[in-house]
Amino acid sequence: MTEPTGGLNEHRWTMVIDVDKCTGCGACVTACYAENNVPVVGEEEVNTGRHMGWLRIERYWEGEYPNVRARFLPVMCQQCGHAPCEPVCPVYATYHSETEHVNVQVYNRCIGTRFCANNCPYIVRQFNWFNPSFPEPLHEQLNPDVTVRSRGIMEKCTFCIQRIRQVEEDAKAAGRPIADGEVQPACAQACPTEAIIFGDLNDPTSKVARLAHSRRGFKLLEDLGTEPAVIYLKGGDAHEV
Amino acid sequence: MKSNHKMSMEEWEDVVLARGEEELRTELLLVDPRPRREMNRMLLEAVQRITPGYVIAIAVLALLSFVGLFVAWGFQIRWGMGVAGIRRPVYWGFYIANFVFWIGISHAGTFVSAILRVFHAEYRRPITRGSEMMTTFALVVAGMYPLIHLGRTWRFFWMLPYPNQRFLWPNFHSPLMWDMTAIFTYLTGSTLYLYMPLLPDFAMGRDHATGWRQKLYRILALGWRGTEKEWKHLMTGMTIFAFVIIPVMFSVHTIVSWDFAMTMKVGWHSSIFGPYFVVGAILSGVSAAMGLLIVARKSLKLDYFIRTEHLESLAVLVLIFSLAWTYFFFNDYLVEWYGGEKIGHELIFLQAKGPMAPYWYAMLVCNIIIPVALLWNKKLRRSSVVLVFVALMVNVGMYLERVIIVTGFLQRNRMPFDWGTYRPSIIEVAIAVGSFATFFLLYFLATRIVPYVPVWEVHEGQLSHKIVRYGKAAVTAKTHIEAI
Amino acid sequence: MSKEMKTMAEKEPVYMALFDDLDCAVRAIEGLHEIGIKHEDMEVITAVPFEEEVLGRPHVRELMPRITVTGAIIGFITALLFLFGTVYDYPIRVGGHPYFTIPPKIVIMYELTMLGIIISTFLGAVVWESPLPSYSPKPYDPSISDGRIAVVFKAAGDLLQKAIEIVEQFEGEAKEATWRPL
Repeated sequence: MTEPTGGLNEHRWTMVIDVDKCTGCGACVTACYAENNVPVVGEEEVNTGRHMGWLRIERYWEGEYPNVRARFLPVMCQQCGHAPCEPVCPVYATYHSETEHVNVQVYNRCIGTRFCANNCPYIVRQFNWFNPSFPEPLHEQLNPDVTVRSRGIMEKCTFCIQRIRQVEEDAKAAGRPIADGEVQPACAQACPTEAIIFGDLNDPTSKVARLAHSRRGFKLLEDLGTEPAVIYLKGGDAHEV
Repeated sequence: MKSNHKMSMEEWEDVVLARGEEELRTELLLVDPRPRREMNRMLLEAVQRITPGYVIAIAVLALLSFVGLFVAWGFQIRWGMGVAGIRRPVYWGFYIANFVFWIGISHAGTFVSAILRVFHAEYRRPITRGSEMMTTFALVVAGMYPLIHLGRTWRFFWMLPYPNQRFLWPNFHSPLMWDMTAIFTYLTGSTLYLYMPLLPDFAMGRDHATGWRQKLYRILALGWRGTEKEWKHLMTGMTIFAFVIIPVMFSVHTIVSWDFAMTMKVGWHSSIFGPYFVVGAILSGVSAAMGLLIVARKSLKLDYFIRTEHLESLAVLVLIFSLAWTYFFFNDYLVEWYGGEKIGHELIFLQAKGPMAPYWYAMLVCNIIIPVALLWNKKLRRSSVVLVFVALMVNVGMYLERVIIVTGFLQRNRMPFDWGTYRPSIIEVAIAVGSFATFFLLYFLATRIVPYVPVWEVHEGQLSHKIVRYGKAAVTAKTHIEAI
Repeated sequence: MSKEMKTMAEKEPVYMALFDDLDCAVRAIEGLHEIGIKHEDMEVITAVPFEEEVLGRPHVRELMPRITVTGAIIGFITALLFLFGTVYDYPIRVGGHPYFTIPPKIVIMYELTMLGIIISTFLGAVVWESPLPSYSPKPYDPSISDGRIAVVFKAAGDLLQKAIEIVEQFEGEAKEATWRPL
């Protein structure tokens, strides 16, 4: 793998999602599809449980009628520190990047055993069941920075690693550190309520570093010990910054 | 005829033996010796027994095997894994269930030829080769499945450790790599363990067979003569093999079970999976061996060699392992039901009350009720029809168990948006049928190429057994002269 | 066959005595030894294995256990090379696991050791010691695989005459050994 070329230190990329602000609009999902060349599989395939979205919005209903309220939880790859998907891949197609601290999926190396998908407790990994098709004019909006995967390959949210790397390289070329908010994954960029915040936990001045210690914070399935890099905020004053 | 109490000791002994001998000779192979020449000819005749029924069976199996493995699998390679029924979150389906099933079947051969050898169970003598052939072919079929279920099958060789310009080695911490190593070791060991005691029988074939078989046996006999040195090394080698292949057998299915137990999935992550799978494997394998031996005996007309005593002994083993399987089953399920987490309960209810319920109950009936209800009775145990029925039912039950564990437990996960149902597609069924056909095809072809019974072992056993008088009964006595 | 026997066979014929019964064969072997034919100059070919004590033959030391242990060591070292060597050369971090722990490596260490034992035992038993495969002509008779016991020995002149007498005394069939390609 190529060495990351940016920044003065290692980065601990983290995402904070404010569930109180999420409206469930799905803009993040659409942006993710667009940015990462995620194929559209069609209604029939989605009905058999093969939708390919890297990011899903889970809808929960709270309360009894008439005081019902919907809550939305965007779930994507949690980029676990102790990722259970990594040690089970027989060909090292997924491993932990030591400089960005994200879980990396190498499309070229994957032979499709799908063991990683079974071991993920969040079931966030997607598999290319068929060769992806991009019916016209979708093929014109493919992102040249991201590989188009063939059939038989696992894929998942990468925290838009292509954008992370781009910013890292630009910063290194310019000889400056990365500013907070400079790296914006597609979902964070598209979110109208700014419910998704992305940044470097190692940077003490970043928004995520401040929000990470919020008393509203929780992680999904935290007791499993997977050490996810996604922090959710829920249950209180939505004006906290 | 003078009355018994007036006879001398020798005369009385003759009377007692004469009364009991006939029955013992009919029942037990090892006290019913025939000249070696006659036994050799029986086997050579059997291996040439090609009836129209046999030809039709081979043709049908070859067709099914072709359709399943070439057509269906080729279709899947061309179009992608989507033609199978697997989906999120059931990422492993029929193929892995079949894989585990075949690995399980493969345990019978080792059990019969190695464990029974180590325990000096003489009834193993005529049935070792039939069982060991089952092991080898079951492993061949099982070995296809890790390739079949790969998303990019054509890149399977990346799992082999070889130096390459990408500076990449396979991940030896992955249970799939352990699988590969273990199955390769077991396949090698099993094939060699099948081949070594075949040498004297190939030599016999080289000396007395005719036609193309004689040429084949000549090559495969490797020039075996039967000198003291050759025998001594063979027997030492087989003793070492017997002791070594037993732990390999246990480890193989334990490692296959660790494909599931090493994950974080609720229901799979259980420390009992190792022994549970091994016991289940021996259960399905020994009952399959029992069934196959009955069929092969009929097809090859080897009633002299494979008698009711052998099948009855295997039936007792099936009963014992059925009870052992029940023990492990309850260890797994009761513990999960009583003190497990919520998702564990969901899984149990999925099986006991949900759409998988008919299969779950069928599994319990086939694995527990049928063997226990039928095999405790000596008369039923001695009936070939009953034994074939039990063999079939136990294997159906074990097959269902594999499908339930592999596909069923994946259907419920900790987070609610991760639930799903699974139904095998026509391609998966076709490939499964093709793999069954391949196994039977290989096995039935082998029965007409390789001598089915290890005659030298039977002869060896017959030399060390005789009928003696013990009080007023005629009994068998064995002289214990073997090295182990 | 002893080396001397092989070379001598070119010049002097080798004899084979065939017996139908074990006891006859054993007594004949004893008799042949008593008249002066050494144990190394005799070879017994049978269709079933007989222990050395049963035939009245001297005990021969075996190399097999050492071959097996050598195989085990080779297998184990191969495993160590794969497991520790590859991770040392090209480490890739997975799952937060440390690189050089032993427990996940035990499986492959065990399996490759067993594979070493298996392959070396087979090669030792069949290929190295016997040695097989070997299709060149050797003293043999097809009736051996039909259950007869053959005693192959080398003798000449007066000794040969006495040997033939002993063989016939114990109901054996003595003849010049046919060297058949196998």
